[in-house]
Amino acid sequence: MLELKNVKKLYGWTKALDKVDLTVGPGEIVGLFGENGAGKTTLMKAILNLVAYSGQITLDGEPVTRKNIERFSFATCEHSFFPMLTPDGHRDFYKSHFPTWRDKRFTALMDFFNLPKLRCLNSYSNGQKNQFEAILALSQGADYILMDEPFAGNDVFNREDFYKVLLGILEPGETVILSTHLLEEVENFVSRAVLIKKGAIVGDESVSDLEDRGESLMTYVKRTYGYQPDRVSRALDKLAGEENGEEGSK
Amino acid sequence: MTGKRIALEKLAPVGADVQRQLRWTGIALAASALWSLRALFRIVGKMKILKAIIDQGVSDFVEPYPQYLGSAFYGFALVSLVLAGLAVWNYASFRQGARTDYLMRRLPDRWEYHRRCLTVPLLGIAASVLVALALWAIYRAVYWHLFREAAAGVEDPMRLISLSVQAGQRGLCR
Repeated sequence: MLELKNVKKLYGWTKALDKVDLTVGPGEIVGLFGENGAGKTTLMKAILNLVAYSGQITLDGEPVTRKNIERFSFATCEHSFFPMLTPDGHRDFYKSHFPTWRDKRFTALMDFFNLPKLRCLNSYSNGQKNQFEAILALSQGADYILMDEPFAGNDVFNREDFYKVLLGILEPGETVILSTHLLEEVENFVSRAVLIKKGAIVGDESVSDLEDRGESLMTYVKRTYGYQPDRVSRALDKLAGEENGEEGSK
Repeated sequence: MTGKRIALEKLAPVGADVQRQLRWTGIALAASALWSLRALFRIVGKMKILKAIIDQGVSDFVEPYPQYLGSAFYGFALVSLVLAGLAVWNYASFRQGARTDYLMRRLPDRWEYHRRCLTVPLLGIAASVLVALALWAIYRAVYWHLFREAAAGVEDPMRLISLSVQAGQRGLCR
């Protein structure tokens, strides 16, 4: 069980995380949603101890340290692989550092996405790099797989394939925390939606509860964020009015 | 041989050529050692002149050992500075093209990241200091050996050095 209690993070005077309380259990697939700068990436980095924070983050009651950090993996759109290394080189590196490395899964995913095995990562396309980053995170053998906008730049078919494969290969105890803007695409993939705004958790619902209420994930997010559906038409009306006024004055 | 190569690769950033880093460190140290020979040549030259003058029955004075060093050991200082820069470069290399530092910072082995960034620079700096100290001691031994030889017939030979110090303190040029 991953537990965050009263987690705060300041960048200067800006609250990147504001009193975040969150509990994620084994086997959950959590979608972390929020606008740019809402604090999604910071939240993941805090869990991984990549940024300093105040508050408490524990995994099965223990603080996250070097002793249990291998239970987390991380796929980021910034990419955390070695650009000058081949996939086989990565396999060797990960194997030597993560005893729970899943070699079969790595090979199967490399084959599925048809990624070149003999080329260094810096020669991959951006889409291939994203796929490889996600493959590493899934193959590390972690219990908690954190994915921060892992498919930014991939085409829609590619992303759909990945979600399907992901659902097929995940074992019951594996937990995924996925941050993305692509709400509609992950609606059938995530089991829970956590909404973050200005560093604070503003919504936390299971997708099955939403379904029971007959509400889509997109509608729930829009409602929670206070999205005004008529704001586009109001803006257009205002613009049209201003233009007519200018013409009239001429 | 393969085992040795793999072990060496673990001492530098992944994908970096550790053999090249070590080779250039060795070349830089050798060049610094060659540059430091200037001090030795100065000592040998001076002692030869001193011996020739004393043999003719004329007294002269000799500068204390440190004054022969001049810039002879600057090469080692420069190598150490460059190696400190290499450490910074190694850390920066984990942010080039990707944020591999995220991976390195979440490895169960807390020292892996620093080992790969700091080993070659620290070994190089340690080697630089050791070689510099060894050469300093050797040149000093040569200085005293040649001085004793040159001033073999002189009564109270240390006077020749103290005269130089006194002259220096009075601001006298030779």
